[in-house]
Parts: sequence; C-alpha cells; structure tokens
Amino acid sequence: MRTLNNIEIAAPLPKFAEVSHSTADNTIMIKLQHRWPIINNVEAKKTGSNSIESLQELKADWNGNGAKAFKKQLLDKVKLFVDRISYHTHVFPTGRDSVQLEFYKPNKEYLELEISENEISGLHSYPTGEMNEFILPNINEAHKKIDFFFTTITPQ
Amino acid sequence: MKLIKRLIFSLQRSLPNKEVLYKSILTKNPNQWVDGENRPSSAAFKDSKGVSVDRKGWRKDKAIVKGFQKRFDNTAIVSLTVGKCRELDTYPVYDRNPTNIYHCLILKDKDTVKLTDSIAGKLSRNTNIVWVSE
Repeated sequence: MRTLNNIEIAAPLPKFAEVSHSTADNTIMIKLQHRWPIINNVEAKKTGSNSIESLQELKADWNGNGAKAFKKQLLDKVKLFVDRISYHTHVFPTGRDSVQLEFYKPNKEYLELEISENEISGLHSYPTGEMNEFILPNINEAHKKIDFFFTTITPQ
Repeated sequence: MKLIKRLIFSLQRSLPNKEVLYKSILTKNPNQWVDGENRPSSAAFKDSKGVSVDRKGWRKDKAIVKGFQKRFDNTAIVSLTVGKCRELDTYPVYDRNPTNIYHCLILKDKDTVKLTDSIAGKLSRNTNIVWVSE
C-alpha cells in the first residue's frame, strides 16, 4: 500500500504508476503510462551493436557466405530512421541486403524491424513466446510501431 | 580408426536428426551477437544464400572451433541439431563443396531459401553456445 501526504492508497498499483496529490481540489492523480528508458544520446544508442558507419566499411563477403557490401542508399535510409528514434536500439547487418534493428523491454518483449531498400518487415515477440510478423508500408508507420511497442503494456 | 570414420562420413549424404550443425557468429566488425541475451541475433540467420553451417561429421568440438577460427577473426560458435532444425520447420541440406566437405545450408523448405523472421528468431533462440571469444 502506498502513502501520499498521509493518504493511504488502498488500490494495488504497479511499481511504475506515478501518484500525485492535488491540494486544490483534494484529488489524487494516478498515471499508469509505463516509462521505458529513453536514450537521446545518439552515441549511446549504438552501444552493444554496430554503428551505421561501421556497416559502411563492410566489404563483399563480410559474412564468409558471399554477402554483398551495403549500398550507401540503404545505410542512409537506416541512419535517418535511427536518428529519429529516441529508444535504445541494437543494429545488426543481415546477409540478405538488409539491416535489422532490435528493441527489448525488461519483460522479455521484443520488437525487430528489418529494413531493406524496398521493404520494412518486422517481428513482434511477446513474453508468452507468441510471435507476430508484419510488413510496414513506410518509415512513418515503422516509427509508430516502435512508439506503440514502448508505450503499451502487454499482459503476461 | 580415424580413416574408417572419415570414409564412412564421405559416403554419408543424408543428414540424420542427431547430426550437429555448427554456425559461426560474428562478434566484432560486424557484431551479430546480442550481449544482453547472450545469444546470436536472428540477423545471423537471415541470408539470401541460405544459412551457412558446418556439420559435425566425425570431428570433435575442439577441431571444429579451430576450423572456424582459421576462417573468421572474431567469432562465437553455436550449435543445434538437424532434428531441432526440422522441428522448427526448416530444411537443412548437405552442401559439400571442394573447400569445405562439412558445409550445409539451412533453408526454409526444398524450394525456398529465405527463412521467415519468426523462424530466424526461433533458430537464434534454440542454439547452444559452443565457444565465445573473451
């Protein structure tokens, strides 16, 4: 049970709930929106994976299985996309002319976007193990998907 | 004894379910390893030429690791059985070539190379770590 200004709140609240008390009208405000860590620093966003610049340096056959070098056009598109994201992302190259972005939530929920020159596809993996594949029509929809992923709480 | 094992292997074209497949995962320049989860990224299983793996054959893990280290500078090595691949709805095939007699490919099915995102994800989560560089 939480206490705020000597008022006991009997309702069970999740840890992330923000509780505030307004003395003007003696009301209690409970904010339930989950806040996942947001990292605005561009360098920090690259931690733990690859920077877009490093993918530019990969030569043909970088994976030992004949993968092509990445086209500047694709990497520019990915860079533009990543720069607009305010959440932590992992960047990985694939062997099929695409770049994969991965997003994780502490509850084991996972979102993956695969960006190629002509397509943005993805996978949403839920804590239950269920997986949902999707194709997005454009970059804006992909950004919406990420925002939705980080601002929605999936029941476990 | 080694020679007999080698001879038996060279005659074996099929991939039995208990055969182990090894995959090298790049860990630096570029990195395809998810540190926080201690597993390969599914990106490592997305390949337009099929997922390149080596079968165990008659070799020991140590020899397999050494073989990969000769070919790749910064790598982790993971494994999974042919049976697991089939259970996850993929189609592993023996793809022996003059430079690598152990080479195999994991395909989606007999006629499709490209794995779906969910299959690539399942494969990456069902591997066993054989060796990771420090």
